[in-house]
Amino acid sequence: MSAVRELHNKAMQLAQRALIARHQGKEAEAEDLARQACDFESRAAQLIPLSEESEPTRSILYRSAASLAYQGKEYVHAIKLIMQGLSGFPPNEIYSELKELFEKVRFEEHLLRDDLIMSEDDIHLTLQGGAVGPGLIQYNQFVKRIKTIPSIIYRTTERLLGKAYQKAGRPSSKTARIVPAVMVPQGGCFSVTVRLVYSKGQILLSQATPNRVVDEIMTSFELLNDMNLEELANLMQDETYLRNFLSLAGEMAPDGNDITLLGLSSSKRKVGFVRTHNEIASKTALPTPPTAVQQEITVIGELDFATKRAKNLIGLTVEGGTRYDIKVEEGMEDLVRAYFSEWVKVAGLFDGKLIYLSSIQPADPADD
Amino acid sequence: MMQQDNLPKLALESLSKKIPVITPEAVGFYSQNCMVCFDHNGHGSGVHLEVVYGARVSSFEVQWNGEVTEQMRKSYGDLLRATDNAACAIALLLVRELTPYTGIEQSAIGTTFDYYLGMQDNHSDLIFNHSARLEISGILNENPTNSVKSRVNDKIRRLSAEYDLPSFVVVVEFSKPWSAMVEL
Repeated sequence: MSAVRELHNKAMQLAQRALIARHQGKEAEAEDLARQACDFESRAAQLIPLSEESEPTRSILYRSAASLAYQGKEYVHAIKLIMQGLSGFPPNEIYSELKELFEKVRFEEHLLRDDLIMSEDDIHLTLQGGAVGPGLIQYNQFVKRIKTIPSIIYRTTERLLGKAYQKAGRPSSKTARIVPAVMVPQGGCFSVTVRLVYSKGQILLSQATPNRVVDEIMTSFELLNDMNLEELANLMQDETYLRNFLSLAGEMAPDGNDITLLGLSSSKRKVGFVRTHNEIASKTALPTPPTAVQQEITVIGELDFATKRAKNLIGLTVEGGTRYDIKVEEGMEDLVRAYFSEWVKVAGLFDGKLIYLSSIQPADPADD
Repeated sequence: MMQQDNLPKLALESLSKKIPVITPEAVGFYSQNCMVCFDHNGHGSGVHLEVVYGARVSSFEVQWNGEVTEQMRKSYGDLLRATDNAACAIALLLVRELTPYTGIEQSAIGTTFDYYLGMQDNHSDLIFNHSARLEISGILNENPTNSVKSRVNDKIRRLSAEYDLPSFVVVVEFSKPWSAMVEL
């Protein structure tokens, strides 16, 4: 057997072992095996002369070696191997593949610079409705939902770690911070993939791995879609976390017109979430019927935090200058924060002094 | 399905034979992925797999040793990933049986795999000269919105735009079960 074939076969053997190790959850072993495989594949590639006649063998071997370096998280080495492949005479398709791999490696390298590591755990978010075209969506409909994702991930992680609900302040620096990275839209309806990345060098506790966080979010949406509020409350085990999730899920929920379906899927399951914002608000927002001194009210104005530090109060200034103080229940801060300095429609109970917030939505121009 | 005797066999245990990209120690892994996907759809060893390759329709009997255990189901509980791995195994077996090519290279980028095929009788150093690309997709249980036909068309559209090298598309479905193979 030729030396090239022997080295390549050895690389493939190690790559297969890496694949199995990864399946068994032995990530460090998988990375080590990938690095060993990369060494054999690089040596095979170096034996091929740099000439047109050597193609596509030479560039495919370099691409293969670079993908193994990428799996082994040796990003600088991967870039060098990609450059070697590009320096020959790669056919168009291999050239494109090498360039695509280069972009992926560069992105991983960028995450590492920010001390972040890419997990393989995703939530695919699909939106359907009147505001959605093929691969297009009305800007506001997308932004209001995607803005909610970091809070849902953060609160789910904190809850899984058994931490008390934290209204404000910096997140703990001792445990890994799990945050989203948004992947490119796919064709058809409007769909994006939110991949979870986490901070390097900090402890990733087993009860809140990206995989576990994704699973928990999917379960929460599944239960809310079934309106199984009792089970949802059991899952959350904390009223504030429950209120927080309901407010954020309500924000992501379809409105029944512009957005009719919110599709969520992970590697394990799918939820076609159809509960509307109003449905969720009606089930969860008004805990007590209005009393003689409290009346239901809806006002439109600009939200500000001028009075935030006083007893969970925020300010709303309506056209003409009248100001209202709004009392925000614990757990709804994430939702309110997303609307700071925007024109919003606020609903709640008004006792003559304060509005007790039940829902907040961006003001529709038709509301003016 | 009408019982057909003497169908050609696709033995999962033969995965490493003449398929250099699958090593003997990986055979168990790929076989078990296949077994779990067939078992999920109520199929056992000996299940008939219909293969549509261009205008040719043929059937194979897929065989394996042993039974699917609870431990195995748990270990391959991520059925999306199991379906992808199982589809790779079946596709590589079909390529070996139906074409002069065989799988010689696998690149894993994240959770997706790319394969290159070489001629089965090529012994030169230029192992990828006269090679072909293999694109594989797996469906556990097809439905109107997730069908073999639509997956094949998606792959063809993408490959036609980008590739000059010969390419194969193989989509494997595990409930009927059947597979479509297209050479571009």
